[in-house]
Amino acid sequence: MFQQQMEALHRAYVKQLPDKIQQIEDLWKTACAGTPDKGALQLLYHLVHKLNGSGPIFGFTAITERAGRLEEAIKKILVHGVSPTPEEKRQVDQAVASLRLIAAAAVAERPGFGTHNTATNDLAASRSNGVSAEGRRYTILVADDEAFLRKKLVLILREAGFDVEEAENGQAALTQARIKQPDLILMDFLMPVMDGAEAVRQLRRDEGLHAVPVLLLTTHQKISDVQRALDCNVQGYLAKPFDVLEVIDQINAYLADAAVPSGDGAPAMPSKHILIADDYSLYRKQVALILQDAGFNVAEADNGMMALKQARERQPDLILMDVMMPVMDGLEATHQIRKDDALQHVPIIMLTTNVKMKDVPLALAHGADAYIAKPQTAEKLIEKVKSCLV
Amino acid sequence: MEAAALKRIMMIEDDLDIQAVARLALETLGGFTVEVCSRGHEALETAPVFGPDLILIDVMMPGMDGPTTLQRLRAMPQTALVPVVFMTAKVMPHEIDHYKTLGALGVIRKPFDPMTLSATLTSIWNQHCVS
Repeated sequence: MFQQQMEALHRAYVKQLPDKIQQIEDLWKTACAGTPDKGALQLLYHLVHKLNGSGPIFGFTAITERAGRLEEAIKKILVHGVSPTPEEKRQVDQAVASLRLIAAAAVAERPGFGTHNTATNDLAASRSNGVSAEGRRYTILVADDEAFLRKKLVLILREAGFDVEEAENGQAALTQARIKQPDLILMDFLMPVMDGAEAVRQLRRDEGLHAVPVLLLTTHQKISDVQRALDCNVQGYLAKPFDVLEVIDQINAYLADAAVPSGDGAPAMPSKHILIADDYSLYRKQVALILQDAGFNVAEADNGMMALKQARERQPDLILMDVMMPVMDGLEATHQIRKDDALQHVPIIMLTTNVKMKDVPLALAHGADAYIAKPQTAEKLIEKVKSCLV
Repeated sequence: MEAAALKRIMMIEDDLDIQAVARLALETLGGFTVEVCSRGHEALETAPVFGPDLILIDVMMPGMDGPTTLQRLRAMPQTALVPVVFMTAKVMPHEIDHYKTLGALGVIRKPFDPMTLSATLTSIWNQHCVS
């Protein structure tokens, strides 16, 4: 009885979520238009605060991270009583866009609700997603035989502003790729007719498609399976079930990477490149933001295996490595990096919540140069990173 | 001395979604009689009529906020001694201490778990009765 009633409340909440976020965005636009409207900002703050409080009760823990960030940003503007800076505005815009994706994902998971709301086209106009620096919309090809998951991804990606094509197996994906020339492909690992591994092999032999980034969608978590996936010459993998926002983040990161070599607007000032490997995405992203704000280029990996792959591809100047991670832990990844001729001198800082003495010598014995106990202040983190880069 | 049973709870919360979940949890799982108000002013009128054993108040509400509502409830003879528990997303230790100095028995962190909300309130209530 209780569960049924909770389910009904959950459905009602999901149904309203896009409208709530639309209201937040409308208020934000009002607050930004001309002189800052304190009343609009206060109401906005209140609505975001409510969203922050209610979201996780209905199972939307991702809302807390975004709404919390948004709440802090609006509070700062309210406290200072001045117009938002371009950076503050960008942060709020991004947080709102993320919230809209969460709402879109929630609606997509509830067949019957449909794509009922006005959010659809507005998100496409969001500058951060789906569009290249030249203003061209990116095309993503989603290949998965599981129709429900495929449709969900298609819907989410369209909401995020991408052009999306779909295929139900590897063979169809190849055909679609040749016709549509996608900017990135999300490829399921296990599919009938032709599996993802074979489809990627054929793509890599195709003159027109050999450089297209591919992310494999896989349910596999075992080290051997992930290794097999990565051996297919793909750029990364997404383990199902995945967080849709992570998917969007990863896609944007790979598209941004792919765009760099061809662009002529690369930053003139060389910046140090930091790789952070941590499976706790909230912490990883917080650290990434701190480092980016400090002027570093940052890449992320959510386990040791991905860290190893990224390190080999990107040759970072420094690696921040969590100890406990799935697939391959940080100690093993550090050990592997130290055995790699091209990487053996890259400084590695171990991130650990265990400040027990036994972990420190263990990390150092595996080749780490230093360690930081989590959580740490931004200043201490940057200080430690800089000291290891000297 | 055996603690008096907690039966009637008044909740003051402006968010309709949280109202609905909390009411469901308190009524269905806790077996309590629940009265819900969306605003502090509304609660000042309703509380003397309803006669709650305990009042659950959201800290941040438009108009009259939680601490002000508590202050006003304390000034009314019918509710001057009714135990109050705050609900808030802000749970820094010094803030919890601050709310307790205002007269709250305890603070429930948002987001709360609907499955354990009743047990948490009962526990706070029992500790209050023992002390």
